[in-house]
Amino acid sequence: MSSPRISIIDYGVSNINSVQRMLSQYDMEISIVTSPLQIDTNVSCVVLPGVGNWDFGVQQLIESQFFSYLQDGQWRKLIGICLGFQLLGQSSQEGTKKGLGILNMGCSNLLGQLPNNKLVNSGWKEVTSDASFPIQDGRYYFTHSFGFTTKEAEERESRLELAKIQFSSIVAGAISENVAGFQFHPEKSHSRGKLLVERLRNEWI
Amino acid sequence: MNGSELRVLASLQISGDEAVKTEQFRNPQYLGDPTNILRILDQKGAQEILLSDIGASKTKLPNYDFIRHLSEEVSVPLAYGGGLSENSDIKLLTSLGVERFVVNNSFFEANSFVRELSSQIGKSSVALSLDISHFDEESGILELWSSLNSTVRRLPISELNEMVIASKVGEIIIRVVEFDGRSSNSVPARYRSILKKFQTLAPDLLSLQILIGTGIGSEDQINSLSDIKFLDGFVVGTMICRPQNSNGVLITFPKTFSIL
Repeated sequence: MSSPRISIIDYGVSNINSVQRMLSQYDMEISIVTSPLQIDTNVSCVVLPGVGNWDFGVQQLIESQFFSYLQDGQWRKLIGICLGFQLLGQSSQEGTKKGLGILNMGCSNLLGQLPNNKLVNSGWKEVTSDASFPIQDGRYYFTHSFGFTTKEAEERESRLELAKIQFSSIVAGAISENVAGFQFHPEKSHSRGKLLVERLRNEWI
Repeated sequence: MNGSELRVLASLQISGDEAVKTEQFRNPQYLGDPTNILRILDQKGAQEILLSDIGASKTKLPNYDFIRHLSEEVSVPLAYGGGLSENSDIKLLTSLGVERFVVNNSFFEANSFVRELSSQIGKSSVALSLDISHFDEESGILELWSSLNSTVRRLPISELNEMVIASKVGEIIIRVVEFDGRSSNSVPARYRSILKKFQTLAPDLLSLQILIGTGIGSEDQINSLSDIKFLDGFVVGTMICRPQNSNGVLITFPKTFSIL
């Protein structure tokens, strides 16, 4: 059985080396792509990482030609990480540009979602999941100031299995048959992040 | 906040390709090989790493190749500070694995750069390091020390409040210069007093991530401040990496705050 082929999108808004390093630890063929033309039809999964501001991220996707590629659904499976996860949605209160709309929900600011009226969520947070796969309950690393809410996800995206930050309604992760997204950084979540990637490789991709 | 919710960042200063330790942000002394130190901190479950390049602070030239090399040693978030300016290649640093950018002098001398930085990478990835040489609690005037040119900037804390919000910075690291490289029993009380004034005079900042650094020498000192609800964490240096008499260095990370 051949190794799954993974394309990581480099659109100038991500910690691409960290993501590549993590994925390379498992039996997968990894390539970093800067154009949709570099992704052939045999690629098992496309990864959209992201560290940044919403409008800047959308603009970078458009300019790199990946926006239309992703929106057109020319991929088998798609994983979004942090900003990459958010960009799968329709919109964000962080900016004015439209997202990919692959997920029928929008990102909100974190007002009222975090203890002590914090608007920035940084650090290791407990994640709980109704789904036994692939996110295990435990601590993962987050750094963001916008995100999807479980209320909206449950109302508008019933196909998704969700994980959330404990004692909040912030979506920590979501997965369906062909789309997965993580608000936290698996590549920076030490052993638990590595376990998640391993399970994705073996049981989902 | 309880122990499991506090952020505890392991701080490592570098100069060139060496790990160093300063006292009051002066006189850097050789500590060891940063590659080995980071590797060990990662193995011991350090939550996050804050890498401060004190050489780059003066040259304003981040050492991209070295940062790439060091980032490969850690599987936890890496924050970087040192010489960040409008000439820095932020996209490159992000691609290399830097998740958070810590600014200091550039916040005051090139604020437009900081705003642009936030507009690109998001406010949660931009932190401001405030190096306090003196704080007049009665008047609310901060004296902020610049390691770049060893000067002091006087600023009312209320004005800082406005500047930070306008700049869309997501995190503040409060460091008392006097405590750098030193630890004493007076550290927690001093920080408590400073934070109380922030609460009164800069209330908008409390919604950001607030951390304190310098001088924290033990888990007891961390725990003694954990009742301050808006305090999100600590940046620890000497506590986790200290020279030994035999010219070695002891590297540790408290298990209470480890992510293992």
